[in-house]
Amino acid sequence: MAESLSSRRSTEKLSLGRFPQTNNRSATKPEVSAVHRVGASIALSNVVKRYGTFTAVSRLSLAIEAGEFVSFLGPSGSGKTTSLLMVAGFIIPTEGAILLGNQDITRLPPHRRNIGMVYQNYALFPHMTVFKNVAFPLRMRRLGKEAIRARVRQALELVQLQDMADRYPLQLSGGQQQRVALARALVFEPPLLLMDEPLGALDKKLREELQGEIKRIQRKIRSTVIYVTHDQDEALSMSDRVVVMKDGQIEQVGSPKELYETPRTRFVAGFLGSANFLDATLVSTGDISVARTEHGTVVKTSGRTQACVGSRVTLAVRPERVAVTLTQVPDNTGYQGRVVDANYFGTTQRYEIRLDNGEILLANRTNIGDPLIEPSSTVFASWRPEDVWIIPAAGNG
Amino acid sequence: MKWSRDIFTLLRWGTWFYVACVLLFLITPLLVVIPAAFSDSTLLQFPPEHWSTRWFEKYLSSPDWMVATWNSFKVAVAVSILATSLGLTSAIVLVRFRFIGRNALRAVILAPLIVPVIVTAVAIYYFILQIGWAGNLWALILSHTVVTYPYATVVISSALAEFDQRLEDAAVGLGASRVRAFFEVSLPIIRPAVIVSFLFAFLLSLDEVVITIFVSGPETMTLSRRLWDGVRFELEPTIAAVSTCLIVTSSVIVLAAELLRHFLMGRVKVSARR
Repeated sequence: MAESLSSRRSTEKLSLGRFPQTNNRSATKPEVSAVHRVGASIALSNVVKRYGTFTAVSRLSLAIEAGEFVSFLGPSGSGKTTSLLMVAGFIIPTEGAILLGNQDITRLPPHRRNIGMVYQNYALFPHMTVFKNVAFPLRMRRLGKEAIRARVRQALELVQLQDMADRYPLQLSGGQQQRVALARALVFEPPLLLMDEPLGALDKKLREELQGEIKRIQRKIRSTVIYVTHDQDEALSMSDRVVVMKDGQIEQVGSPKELYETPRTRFVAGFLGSANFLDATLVSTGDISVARTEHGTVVKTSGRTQACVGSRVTLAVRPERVAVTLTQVPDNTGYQGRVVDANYFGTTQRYEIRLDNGEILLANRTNIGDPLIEPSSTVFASWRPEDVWIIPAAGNG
Repeated sequence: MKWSRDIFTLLRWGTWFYVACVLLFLITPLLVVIPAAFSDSTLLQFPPEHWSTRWFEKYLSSPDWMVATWNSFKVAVAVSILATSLGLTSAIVLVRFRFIGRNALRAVILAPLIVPVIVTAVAIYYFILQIGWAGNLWALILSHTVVTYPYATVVISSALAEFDQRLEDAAVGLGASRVRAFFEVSLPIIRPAVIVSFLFAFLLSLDEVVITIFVSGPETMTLSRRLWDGVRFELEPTIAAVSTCLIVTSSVIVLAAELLRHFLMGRVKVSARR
């Protein structure tokens, strides 16, 4: 199985060469086994980390497939970095187990886990040249001089820094330094790559450029990646799946589309983009449910719910799904109101609208050349039933 | 306007004058000792009437001075190795670990810096007598280590506290054991402090008189002890010649430390500019 896997993929994957046979490697050296040549799956089961009475991570269970790109997204203090450091081995979980492939690594010291890691502050060794930095993990694995030279060259080509081998890290720009850190984390072909806000220290333009680059490299080498970030755009654009964390717990796991379009909780909806939240009471349920908000707005929704008629729910609708028009829409479903605030954001126009019954709505309109609607103008806000989803009362935490 | 500028000019010149006075005060003894060493007279004389290098020749050809020099050198080398390695290990413990009694431990290590030297000297003297090491070179080495080790700890601690521990963690993450990561990454980065600590301990040991007077015996005569005796009993220009040699040695070591620091730091600075 392992044989066929590696031979099947050897044509597709980055050919960084092969490690020498590792039969009689001493037990204290990092393991380099055949199954780890491409990405490995990783599973966290009921992982808990407590510091005294404070619980940093509670009952975290998550299975990540080989080759998957998964982001941990959450505000600071949500436990995403703690979780990452437990996978890396720098923090030992209080309870639970972590499996890499089918090996239990919960208590394995970090230097024997064979996991690549990229840090926000790059953590390049200032006293070593770029070449020596990238060669470091190979030297720790006791590769021969020639093999090291060839692999370092290939890794530097991968991040397009082949001409910088003799520079010292401080002679490079931030973006270049992070590329070196990436090359250093990849050069030993780790089955798992951890990235802790790797682009956090870079400016927006460079960040977007490197996001693309990281994705390109990840597709090429098919390594499993766990990417910690607090930047929702980064998480949505790069990941196969996003894990939204809050207070040391997983709030929701799903593909970027699932999370954005059907968030299960108010927190997820608010953290990934913005949303209008309307507290309401269910009037009727069915293919199209009807709810009445506290301000008396009657809203139709095709969102599914288990809640029964008469129970309190939260309705959510994204600002970009709220259409703003100066005249009533043809089927008379628009809610009449006034513009309270209008802002110009280049690609969008953002409006705050106060409906006649007092309901406040945010609406975004793509800037396709229509003039900005002036504040205090009378407008109609409308949306389709499928643009509204229902968050049960339990999801309001 | 004009008036206030004059005041500032005056202040500036005043400051320079003050600095010059301080420097002169510090340098004058050297300006006396060095010429006196080249005197032809059999008495310590300043300024000398005739010049010669006979006192240097006497120093180099006198067996008891040579034994003292060799002893001093052996002790200083052993002390700098011991003090620096102890300083390095205690710095690691004090900087890296949080434990009950850490501040107490730090206070104990640094105590010789605060306690008057004479108190330390008497204490060490009694201790040496008790264990029967009087007149042993190891007694000198250990007692010098006690007073130089706090300096080494301070110098290396401050370098280690400044060192970004995430670099060492990164090395561990890349497959180095904790020990290997320390030697491959942390130690090279704090190396200037280790070298400075080494040279500092060497100089301090070479220079140490108070404790040496208590601990050294006839068989463990050191240069500083021999000088002390020379000043008290002989007062011939040999002591000026020896002092001159010591001044030159110290200056060379300090200069070397400074150049080394400049070179090591300079490389980083130059690269940061590009």
